Amino acid sequence: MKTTVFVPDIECDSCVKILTKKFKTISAIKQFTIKEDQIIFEHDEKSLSPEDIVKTIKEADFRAATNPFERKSFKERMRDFKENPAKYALERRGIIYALTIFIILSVLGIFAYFTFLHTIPNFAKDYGWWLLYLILSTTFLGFALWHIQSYKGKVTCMVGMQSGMMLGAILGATNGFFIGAFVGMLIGVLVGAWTGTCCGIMGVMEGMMAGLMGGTMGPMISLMMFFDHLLWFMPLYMLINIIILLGLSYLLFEEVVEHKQGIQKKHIDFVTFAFITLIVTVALAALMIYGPKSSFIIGGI
Amino acid sequence: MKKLTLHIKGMTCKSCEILIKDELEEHKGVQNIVVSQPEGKVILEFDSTIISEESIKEIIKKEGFVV
Repeated sequence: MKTTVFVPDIECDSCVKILTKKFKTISAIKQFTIKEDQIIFEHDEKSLSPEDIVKTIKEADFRAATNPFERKSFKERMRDFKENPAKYALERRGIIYALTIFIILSVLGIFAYFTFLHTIPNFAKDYGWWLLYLILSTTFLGFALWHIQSYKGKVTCMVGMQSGMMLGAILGATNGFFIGAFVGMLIGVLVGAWTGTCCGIMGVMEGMMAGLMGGTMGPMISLMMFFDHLLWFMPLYMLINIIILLGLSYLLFEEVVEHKQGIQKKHIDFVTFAFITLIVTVALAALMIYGPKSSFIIGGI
Repeated sequence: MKKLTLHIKGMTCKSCEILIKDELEEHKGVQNIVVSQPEGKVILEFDSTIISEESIKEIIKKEGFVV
């Protein structure tokens, strides 16, 4: 009898060796082939049923079933992240890069404030929070794009929308709807198109649409909430955008990376990543502080 | 009995711990084996009149790990 048993936790050669040792002691198993997440058995069904095989594999501390498993739950994924650092080496490196860049940008911001920005009247009140949101946005967007860039495969172009939503909302509040929409849309469309190239012309078009929508919706939110607690709303807005970005990275791993070999590319090194993030952040901060402004902006609220 | 701590490269999951422990337990003279994949360590006690440190290292290397 031929039986396929799904075993989603086969991580490495050691898993294969342990299972192979176990199966070789069972005479009723005539042949077996261990694949990525399943094992195909030829066995004597009279002395060994499919349920017996599943039980044997479970005794070796592997999940097993004759039907395919759903993907790991969030809790299982977090446990896997902690217990298997080698498997998530790239993601761990990205997190360290992002944290380091956030610290560097924050220190630079504080330095700039105490050296020359404090001379601008009401600087802290008008720009303090918005600079923090800008640094958070470029850090998290940078991480999401770095993560996407580190793998070959069909990935989401929705980071274009997040780029537009976050940066458009910030610049919409500080410089008005025109600048906010222009910058949000431009960056959103470029990011969306770039991340959509994996999936042909349709991917590029979808990415551009996402960037266009995000880039114009972001400043619209700021504009509409100027007189309705925008400053209270923004922390929650930023938090949700960040959660979505992290969720997209999580899904990237689940859908594209898990169980697939050979799709990791040479990732962008820290210096390049930091340099690009720094340039973008400084350029947007300069635009925010010194760029053109409409009469309808957050200053003074 | 001598105590031995070995630093191991190449362990990626719990199965690696189990594999190393099972292989070492099959050999006489080795006991109190503790394998930690997160720390990349194997700690054990061995009777040097029965088995040498080099032999223990070879057992682990044979399974594809770097000692």
